[in-house]
Amino acid sequence: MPPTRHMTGDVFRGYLLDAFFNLAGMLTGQSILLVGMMTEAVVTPWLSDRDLALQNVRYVMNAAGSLHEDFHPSPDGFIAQRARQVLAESIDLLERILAHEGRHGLLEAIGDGTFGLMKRPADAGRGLDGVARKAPGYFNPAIDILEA
Amino acid sequence: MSIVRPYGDTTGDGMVQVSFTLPLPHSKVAEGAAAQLAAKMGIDPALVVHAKPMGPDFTFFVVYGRVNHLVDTSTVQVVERDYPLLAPKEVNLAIRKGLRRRLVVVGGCIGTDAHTVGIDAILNIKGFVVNLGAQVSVPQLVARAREEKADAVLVSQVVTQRDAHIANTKEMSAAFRESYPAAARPLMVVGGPRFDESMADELGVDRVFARGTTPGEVASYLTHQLVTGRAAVAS
Repeated sequence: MPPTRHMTGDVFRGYLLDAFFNLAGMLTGQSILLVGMMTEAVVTPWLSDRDLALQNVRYVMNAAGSLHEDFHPSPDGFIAQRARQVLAESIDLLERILAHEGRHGLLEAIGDGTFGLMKRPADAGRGLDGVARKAPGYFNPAIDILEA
Repeated sequence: MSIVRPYGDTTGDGMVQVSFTLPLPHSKVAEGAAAQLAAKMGIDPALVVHAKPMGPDFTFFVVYGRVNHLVDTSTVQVVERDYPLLAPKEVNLAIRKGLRRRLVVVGGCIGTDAHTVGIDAILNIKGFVVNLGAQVSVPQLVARAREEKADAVLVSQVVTQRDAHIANTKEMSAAFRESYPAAARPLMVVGGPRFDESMADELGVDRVFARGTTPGEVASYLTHQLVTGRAAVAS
């Protein structure tokens, strides 16, 4: 799905944009697709928005589901250059995370706004009052199955 | 005064399109129900051009038709901009000359809202800005505003689930009114894509900014309210 800031409130344009993102997902052989809703940034998606969003995905999958087999971007083309740039920026980001001193490098990086400029400091945020310490006899079969 | 009706393909045809879902299995009765609803909305004749079942219990409709309502533009009520639009340099100059110190603005997204893109863009104005970021609680916002001696508080609300933006804003304005004497209270400004600009009184804030607001508009408003407008009243 496209970032929310690209959803203008023009739901028709948004539906087209979602289709283009779905197409990009097919072209690159993604096995998991986050489905965009035409009324994102307008209302909490309605039943019909969800249905239309799934129709959008199905249409693109049927029409272009195997297109990734034929999709070979030119080595010096825009897509390959953009991929190299994003990869380089990702490596820079990883190095900035590593550069955080202390034992909790990743948590500190999350705290000081390394990701998307969103600061989430360890001593701020919400929801702590809803968290309970595990009791000595704590038992959750789902966790046991997942971790097995 | 100007009387208008919707324009589809020719002047005065009054054509509109609507889409909606009815909690009915797809059937002739369901399509008839869609046409009846459209007629009650003033669409006559109503053409049910698309009906699609969504699961066993719901049907989605697209309806086109001629609406029999007219709009009189002279009775439309909007909030017009009542402050001069200033360039960033003019804002800075006005603050420096009028206030002789930095303008202190505290802002953030309150409640569970984490959509800071808008407030980040708006708060990217020169001056002394404290951006508390996402999911700020109202007590935190009040405490920080007091600590920084804020001239204005800017709150962004994007999430509208169960009218959270309305409830959060009312909670915020009530908290500031309780915490401050009326004369010392910072200017309260709220913004977000789904706000109605005419709701300022109902929400208890000084100004509501709706979708499409630019940082320049907010900066100009703050300058007008806190510096130039106030000086004009004093002199």
